[in-house]
Amino acid sequence: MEGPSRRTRLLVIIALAVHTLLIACYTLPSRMVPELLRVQAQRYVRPVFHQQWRLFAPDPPTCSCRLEMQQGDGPWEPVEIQLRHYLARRMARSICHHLGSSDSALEARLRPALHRLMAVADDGTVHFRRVERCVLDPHAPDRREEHVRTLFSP
Amino acid sequence: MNLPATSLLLFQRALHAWVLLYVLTALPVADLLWFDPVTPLLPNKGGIQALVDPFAAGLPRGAAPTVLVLTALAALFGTFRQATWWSSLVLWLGFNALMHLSFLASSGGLQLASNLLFWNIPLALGTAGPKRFSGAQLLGGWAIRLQLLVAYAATALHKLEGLHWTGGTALRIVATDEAFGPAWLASMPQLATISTWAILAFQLSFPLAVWWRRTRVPWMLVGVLFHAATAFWMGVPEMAAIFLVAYLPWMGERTSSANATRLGLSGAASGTAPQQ
Repeated sequence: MEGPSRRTRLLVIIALAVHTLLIACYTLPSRMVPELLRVQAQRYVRPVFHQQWRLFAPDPPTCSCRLEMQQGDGPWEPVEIQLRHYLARRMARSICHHLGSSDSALEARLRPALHRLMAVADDGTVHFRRVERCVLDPHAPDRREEHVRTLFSP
Repeated sequence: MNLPATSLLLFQRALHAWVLLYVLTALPVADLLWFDPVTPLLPNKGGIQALVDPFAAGLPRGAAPTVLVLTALAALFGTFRQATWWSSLVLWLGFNALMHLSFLASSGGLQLASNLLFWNIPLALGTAGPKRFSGAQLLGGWAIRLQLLVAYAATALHKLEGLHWTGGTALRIVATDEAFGPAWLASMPQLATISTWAILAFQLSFPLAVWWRRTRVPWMLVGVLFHAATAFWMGVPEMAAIFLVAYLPWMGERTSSANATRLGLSGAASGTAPQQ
């Protein structure tokens, strides 16, 4: 099998350079990328090559996020107790973080999602709340302040 | 700009095995992820997005089990046989459909896998063990290699923009978050600070260190430890595994040939392309 011609190699190098440049412009901190390039990168990358590398970056979240559930008049319990699979626990965490945006439309969309995840009927007998524990001093992060918000309240 | 053929062969097999393993480990919650998904459907903008997110574009959700089976079969095929461009295409399409259907359970690892699977299609254009790669294979192979470097560089540069990574407090904050850990690290502030800076230095230097054999191997060994730790304490095992899969195209040809022989793949990898 013959190797590619010089012209083909040149085309490959150009394609790779453009692709990598656009991926970099899409994923690097926005401060480092000119606006025009960022817009072009979004057009190219988002539909097929979407990726973001901001896990715990630029800073780890200073507030932990936990969903708790109460059935009837029972005690409040973290939903993760009932979710054994790591992907189910990840969905619960994801819902918890999304619910932090105070977007009522998003909350309405996530309400059935959370009931579905926990396999409970949305008939008013099960209640959910969101518990955040926030770092007060980064040098003593184990001392945290708790904030509780009831979810899906009428 | 030649590529190590055996390293790429091992990468292809490992990538398919990764998808297979991901699908199999997700089966206990397949109902929540895909069949009657927890994730709400997002509006689809049409065009090429319809290709990667077909359920949002109108494909009935009842088709999810079929998509799952096709994806698993394509992954199984490529784990034990040389993948073809069409089996790679099926795998990329199927994986993307499933990933979008369960985006609440998504992670950077799944996004990385999606990108690697895309470039695996041109990589599969050609016969097993080419003496020289075709233009499409060169494009696929190098795009896969560079993707790993962009991931490390991007995350490191984002961390440099914050306060807690450069200040050395990031890992203590993560360790005291009840969703992560390890909690004991918070009681050892000096170790936590050194580990924070070590992670930052590792991610920042990896895109350079990987180009030279003398630095590549130690950096990859540190990477294995780092990703194993994230798998255990951050709850992202599939992300850790896909990063290690992405290391394979950077392995030297000699090391990969020895590994291929051990795995009984040496026949498929004969006629190795020369490495620069």
